[in-house]
This record gives sequence, C-alpha cells and structure tokens, in this order.
Amino acid sequence: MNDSSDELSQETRDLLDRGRHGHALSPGRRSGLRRAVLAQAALGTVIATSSTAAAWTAAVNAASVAVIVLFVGGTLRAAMHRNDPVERPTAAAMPAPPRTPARVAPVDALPAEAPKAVAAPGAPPVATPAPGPAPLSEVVAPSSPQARPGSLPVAPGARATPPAAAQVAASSAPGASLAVPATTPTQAASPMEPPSAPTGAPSSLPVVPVSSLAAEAQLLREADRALKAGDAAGCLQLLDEHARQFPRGTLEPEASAERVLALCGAGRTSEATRDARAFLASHEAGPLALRVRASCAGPGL
Amino acid sequence: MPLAIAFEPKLSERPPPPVPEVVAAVTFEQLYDEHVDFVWRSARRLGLDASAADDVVQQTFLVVHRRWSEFEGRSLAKTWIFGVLLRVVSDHRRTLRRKSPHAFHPPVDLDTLEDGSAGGDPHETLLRAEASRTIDQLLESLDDDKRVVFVLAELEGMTADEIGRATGLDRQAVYTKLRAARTDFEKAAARLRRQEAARRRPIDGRRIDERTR
Repeated sequence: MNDSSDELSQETRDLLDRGRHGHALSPGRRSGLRRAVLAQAALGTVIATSSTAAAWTAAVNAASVAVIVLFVGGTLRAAMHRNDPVERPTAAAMPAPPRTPARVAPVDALPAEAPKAVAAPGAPPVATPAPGPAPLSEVVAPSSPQARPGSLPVAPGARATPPAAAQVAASSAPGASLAVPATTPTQAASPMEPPSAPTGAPSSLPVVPVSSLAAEAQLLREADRALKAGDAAGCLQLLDEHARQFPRGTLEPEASAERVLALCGAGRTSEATRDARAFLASHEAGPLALRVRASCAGPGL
Repeated sequence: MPLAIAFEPKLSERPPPPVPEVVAAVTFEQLYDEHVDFVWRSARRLGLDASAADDVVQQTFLVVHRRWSEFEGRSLAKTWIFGVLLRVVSDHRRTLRRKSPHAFHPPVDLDTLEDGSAGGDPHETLLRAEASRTIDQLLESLDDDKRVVFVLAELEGMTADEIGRATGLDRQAVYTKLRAARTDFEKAAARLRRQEAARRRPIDGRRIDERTR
C-alpha cells in the first residue's frame, strides 16, 4: 500500500525501510513463548473437552489457566533465561521483575488452587467476547471445509489418551464432518479431501501435536495436585509416568523441578539435593530454579 | 470406473479448482509458527514493552486457539489474528492503566539490543536497530487508530482491504486514517531530524556511546 507517498519524505521512507525488520524475536524468547502458548492452549483444550458445557465458563477457565500460568509462566522465564544470549549475571539471584502479579511464579511451591490467579492476566482475555472478524465474511466460503479438518487436533476423548491415539483421533473425521454441508450421507473426512493431499495430515507434522501437550500438561497437573494433597509418593509415581510417556516432553523442566519438590515432600532430601543440582546445572535461572533453591534441597546445594 | 473415464475429457476442459485461501489442515502450531513474529512485532509497535508483549502474544494466541474453529477461512489468518491482537492489546492497556499510569514505556528496555541481532554486518544491524527504535519513537506521536493503520500499511505492507479486515474499518476510512497518519508521522520525523541535527553538532562520538551502552 505504498501508492501515495505524498505525505512521506524520502528520508522517512528510508527510515521505514531500514527499520522494517526490527523487533525480531530472539531465539530464547521465541522458544519460551512457543512452549508457553502451546502448553496453555493444550491445557485449555483439556478443560474444554472434559467439561459438560460446550462453552467455557470463566471460572473453569481461570482455574485451569491459573495453574498452567504459574507452571508455564515459570517455563517461559526459565527458557528465556536459559537461552538468553545476553547473559545477565544477576538473573540467578533475583526473580524477574514482577510486572503482573500472577505471571511470576511464587518462590514457594505451586499453590493448588491459586484463587488470586483467577484475576490473572491469563484469564480475562480468554473470557473476552469475540474479536471482530465476524463482519468480514466476504471471502472464501468454498475453502472453509478444507480449513476445518485439521483445526483442533483434539477430539473429544483425546484427553487421557496417549499421543499416538490422540493423533489418530484428530486426523479422523469429526472436525471435517462439521464443515461439510450435510448433504453427503456419509460424513467421512475423505470426500472433501483431495486424494493427493496427504501432506496436510496432522500426524505427518514434525511438531508436537497440541493433544500430546495436553496430555503432558494434564499429567503434570495431576502430579502437582497429588503433591499439594500431601501425597508425595503419588506425585513421584505420576512423574515417573510422565518420564515414561514423554521422555522428551515439552514440560520436562517443570517435571524435573516438581520431582525435587516431591522428593522433599517424601523426606528424601539427599535425592532431592542430587536432582536439584542436576536441574540447576541446566536451568540456573528463572522461577523454576527459584523454587528448586527454596526447597529442602536448597541448603545442600 | 467407466464413468470416470467418460467424464475425464470434460473435466480437463474446466479450469483448475481455485486454490483455497487458507491451506487445508493447518494445525494450530503451524498457524502459531507462521504468525508469531508478526504478532510479536505488531505488539511492540503498538507500544508494548517486551514483557507486556510476552503476555499479549500468549493471550492473543490463546484466544486464537479457542476461537479457531469459528474461523473457517472467512478472512485471511493474518488479518484475523491481528484483529484478535488489537482486542487483547486494548484490554491489556485498560487493565494496566487502572493499575499504574506509568507502567507503559519503561525508560530502559533491555531487550531491544538483542532484537534484530540476527547476524550479518554488525554496523548494519546497529543501524537497523536504531531505525527500528526511531520508528517506535515516532509512532508514539500517532493516536491509536492511525498508529495501527500506519504500522500495517507502511511496515507490514498490507493492502487497504487487508487493513480493513484486520481493523474493521471500511476502505475509505483506512485511506483517510493512513493519510493523516503519514502526515503526523512525517511531522514528527522532521522534528526529530531537526533535534538530532542540533544535538549532533557539538560532539559526535558521545551519542553512539549512549546508544550502545
């Protein structure tokens, strides 16, 4: 849209050209954001599919987001510090400057219900009414069926299923059939898909499907809940399960930190210290590290 | 099977089916990966500091994730996502303003130097980072609507139609706002150039020190 340049001088145009590519995401921030968004999206999906109401109530939402915000907010900071090319020496000693109360993971253990976090920044926008794409309905009606099949790679019931199964569920019909005008008697996914388009299948993607992140987040949440309820052994069992199911899990740092806390809870201080040391070797800064340092393993480090 | 053969010549005479505007079977992650850079820099150019942009990017994509099934290719993903971003940013501003009037634009943003450090000639990188910061500064002189339209048109290269879809403005309004925005931006740029020229005269080296510190 550079048609009329009357209002802008050549100097200003040059400035705009030079600065056009500013605000590139740094690699550390990019990976941290990605983990945070996908994990939060995944958890949201879990709640959505397991609640009876089709719509998310703000309350359900807030409760779910609150936990993962604390979890993942930590992840984000930890990941960003970990990969930060500009090393800040004080980062290990100080928490990230709190700009909003709920983003900063508390130094002590994760609160189980975190009522304050209901008003957390994670919650309100999820509860915001529709953004305004509605009036823009002019384009591309014909393509809409094809836009659907992959949409949310979580089918009802994908919640507790292992990732492989969840993928299968996602790549099969439900999303697609919704978008098909109900004229076809058999609403399978195939009629709408060109036979020569296998590349779009979600299962062929190299990235982690959201559904498996959902399962991972869910598992960790259960582990955390167990620990909160005083069941350190149960928590450790769930963490073992996590390690089995997600050996390279997206939320591995969270799981490792949680394990330290659980070992503390079980009174296994020396093991906690050992794990804490291993954890801090690769995650020396960030809220997760703070939590680990504040645990029973802290004095032995 | 014989039927298909019988129909084949006719089919081949037809034009190929239109390429769908939204690629089939896009996953949320593909959508995210494709647009996160755009959303991030837009948030920054709408005046959010790096940490606020972190929040806003996350919130935007959570809304996108939740509402994605309703999307159905009614508009291009990019403009639609920008529409979501605008909402989130405006909510964010409201909340922040209630909390503290000074929460925006902290004096020092540690992240800016690390931005744009994607390799290449360091001098060129520095110039670009400087230009980007100058642009941010000049964008401050635009009111919210003009700023949005200006960013999308001049920095993102969107067409008037796309901007209309992203903002809900009609075509004429987009042009009107863009013209006004350009005028304001140019005025601010000219003012800044005069100030810079006046400041540069005494000692030239000092400024670079201040900038890179």
